[in-house]
Amino acid sequence: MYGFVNNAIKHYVNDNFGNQIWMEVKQQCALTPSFLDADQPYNEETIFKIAETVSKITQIPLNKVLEEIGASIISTLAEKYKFLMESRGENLKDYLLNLPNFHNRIMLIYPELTPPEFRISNVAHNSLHLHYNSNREGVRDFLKGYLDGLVKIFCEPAIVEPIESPAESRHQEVFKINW
Amino acid sequence: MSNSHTFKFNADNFSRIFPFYILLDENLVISSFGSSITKLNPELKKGDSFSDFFSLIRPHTENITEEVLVENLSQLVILESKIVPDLILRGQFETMDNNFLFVGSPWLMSVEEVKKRKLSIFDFANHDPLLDLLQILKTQEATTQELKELLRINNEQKNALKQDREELNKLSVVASANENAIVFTKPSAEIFWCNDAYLKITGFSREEVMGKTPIEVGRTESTDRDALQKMIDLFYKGESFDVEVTHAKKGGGYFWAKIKGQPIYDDKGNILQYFAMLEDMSEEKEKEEQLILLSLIAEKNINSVIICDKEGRIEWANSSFEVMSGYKKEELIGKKPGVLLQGPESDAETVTYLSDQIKKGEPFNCEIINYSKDKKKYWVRIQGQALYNNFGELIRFFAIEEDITHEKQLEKQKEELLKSLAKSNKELEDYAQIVSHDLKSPLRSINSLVAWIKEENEGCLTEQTTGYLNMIEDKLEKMDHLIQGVLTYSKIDKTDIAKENVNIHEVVTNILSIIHIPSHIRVEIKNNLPVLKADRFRIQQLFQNLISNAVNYIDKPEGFVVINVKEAKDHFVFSVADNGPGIAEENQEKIFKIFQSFSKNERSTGLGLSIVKKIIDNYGGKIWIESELGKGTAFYIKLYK
Repeated sequence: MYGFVNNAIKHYVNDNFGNQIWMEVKQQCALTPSFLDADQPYNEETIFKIAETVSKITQIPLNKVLEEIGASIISTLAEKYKFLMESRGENLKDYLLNLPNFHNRIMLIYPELTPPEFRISNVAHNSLHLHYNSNREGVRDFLKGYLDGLVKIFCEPAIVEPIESPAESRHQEVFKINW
Repeated sequence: MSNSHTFKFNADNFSRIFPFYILLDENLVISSFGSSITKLNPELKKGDSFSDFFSLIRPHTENITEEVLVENLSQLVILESKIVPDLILRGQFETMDNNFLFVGSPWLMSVEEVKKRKLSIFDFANHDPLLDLLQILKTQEATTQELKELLRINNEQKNALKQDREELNKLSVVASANENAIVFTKPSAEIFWCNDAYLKITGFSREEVMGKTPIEVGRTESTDRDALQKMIDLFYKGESFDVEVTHAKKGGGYFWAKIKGQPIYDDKGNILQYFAMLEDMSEEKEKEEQLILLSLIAEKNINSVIICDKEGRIEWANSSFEVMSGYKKEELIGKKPGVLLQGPESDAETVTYLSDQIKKGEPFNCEIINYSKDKKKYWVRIQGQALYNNFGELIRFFAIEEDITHEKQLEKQKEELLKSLAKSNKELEDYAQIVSHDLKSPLRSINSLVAWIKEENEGCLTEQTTGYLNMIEDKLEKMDHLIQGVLTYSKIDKTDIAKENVNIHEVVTNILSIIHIPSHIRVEIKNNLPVLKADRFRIQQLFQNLISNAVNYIDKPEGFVVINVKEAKDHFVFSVADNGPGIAEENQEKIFKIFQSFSKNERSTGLGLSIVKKIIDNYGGKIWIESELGKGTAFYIKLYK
């Protein structure tokens, strides 16, 4: 089931740049034939490697590619795994509040997978902070796309803006979402 | 409505509902815990600091503080034991007055882990589905394992099938592309498959053979019934067969086929189909027949034939060789023919020649004396040569030997005869010379005596006496010519054909200048006469005789003699033609015979044309005439180049 992230990336490259570029990306990233199997774990590293390769081949800036990949994961999820999205909350706020929960559940269910680590703070009536633990450069762009995608799916007039990270030992990207 | 209810539990019944609960005071010190939590963590006791035992890994927090717990009240939390390796608790925090209550349960991945953590069914609340889920998981795992095993078997079978298919494809290509004809039949013998080679060899189309039996397709008038029956019997017995029979071709005719067939069985031993391969043996059969023919020729040859191995030892000999040598085949085989057959009178040089040629592997051809088993001497002419195989290696020798003893005897007789003939000839020549010389001497004396009589009695002799004496002198002169002629004739023999380049034109021109040609006769050389290899003196004798005869016998007031030549590919035909009296047809054969003169001319000795004929005969030439009485004669002489 969790292979859907990999599938979302494939669809993104195929739909936007064509199968030939996808074959090239596959070859350059040395993706195994089982990459798209439903039980293949995804990881941040692979996502970034693919993004870099796509950027190099298409000459589209990396931050743009990362943002589009983030958005495409959400659109694929909404399109092909609707039941998953529906089980995670009826509105954007519930969905965001649940985001750490179901990623943590995934961690328990799939011990070999290191899912993205989210945290929610500053929950108010019309805003909240979403933390994403990662020290990888460019994650902000990826998340921006991801969150914008979500906003789009829920058709809510929310504004997603990156804010300064708290001074903790682990780097995190923090977004403030306002309604 | 539900908010109006207040739930009250004591530690015992709360522990029954949440046996893994942990209650912390506002300072996050453990104040109470469920009955099962100490099974997991026996060191845990009241009054200990919660953060000494657990860390919060999701949501990740470096230090567990009151604020952190408040912030994550609505979240799923994952705790990791700092004491017990790999122990994870999954649950949530709730507030209770000023306290924090953790409710949750250990996160276990398998039924085995339950036991490993020293837990039992009594450690879990009845509402907690974890153990049942683990049971389901266990069942699922077993099912998955079984499925994986099935998948593995399936994959193996798929691969095996793929290999089989590939093998089948390969075999099918081999069968289709095979140069030999291949047919498959049902157990009922009906052909259901054949390759292109079968159609090509037989000339039939696929439609013409499908559904028929190979016998129906292949039987001809000449097919060996016994071989066919043998094949049919083996076929119906379900055994393999291997026969050589003639097989029909479309439109008549047949070819020799070597047919190998074998049944194909299924797992249960039932015949599925029959497989047969036909090899076109026509060429081999032809070679076989040729070989039989050649063997017959060798065996039945009137000459002796032997075949030796590469060392020169006899491998095979025909009956003629047995008869000639007197040895039986068994006595000959393995022996070297030279050792067995040569003897004291066999020429040493020829023996060396033979062994040298055999050593070199070169052909030999010689005559030698051999000895039969009973020591009878005989002459043989041996012709032989080495035989090489396709790789150019010497494999055998064969020799044909002809008994030439009789030939040799005849040769010897002939030699003796020739010797005696030469001796006779010499004697005859000597005799002719002696006789001529002895005859010439009295002639000269008579001539002198007649001259003296005429001289001493000059004026006293009557006219008649003088006439008689003149007649005596004429006769003496003719006698002298005759003797000279005999002498010349006897001297012409084969030893005179000594060949030098003779310019015949020169010779004839010279003759015309030395013989007397009366003024009323014109002699003409029509074409330039050629140069021939011959003896100059004999050529002069030949032409001088012919030209003199022509000039001497002309009886016309205006005579002519024409000398001509015509060239053919390998010879010349000379002609000497005159307009003399001609020669009667009945005499034309006789004129070349010795002492035959049909002329009234007193000087004719009858030897001239005999000399001409003898010279021409010696050169292997030919002479003939064309003549008409009163009109003239033409002599034709054919001489080879």
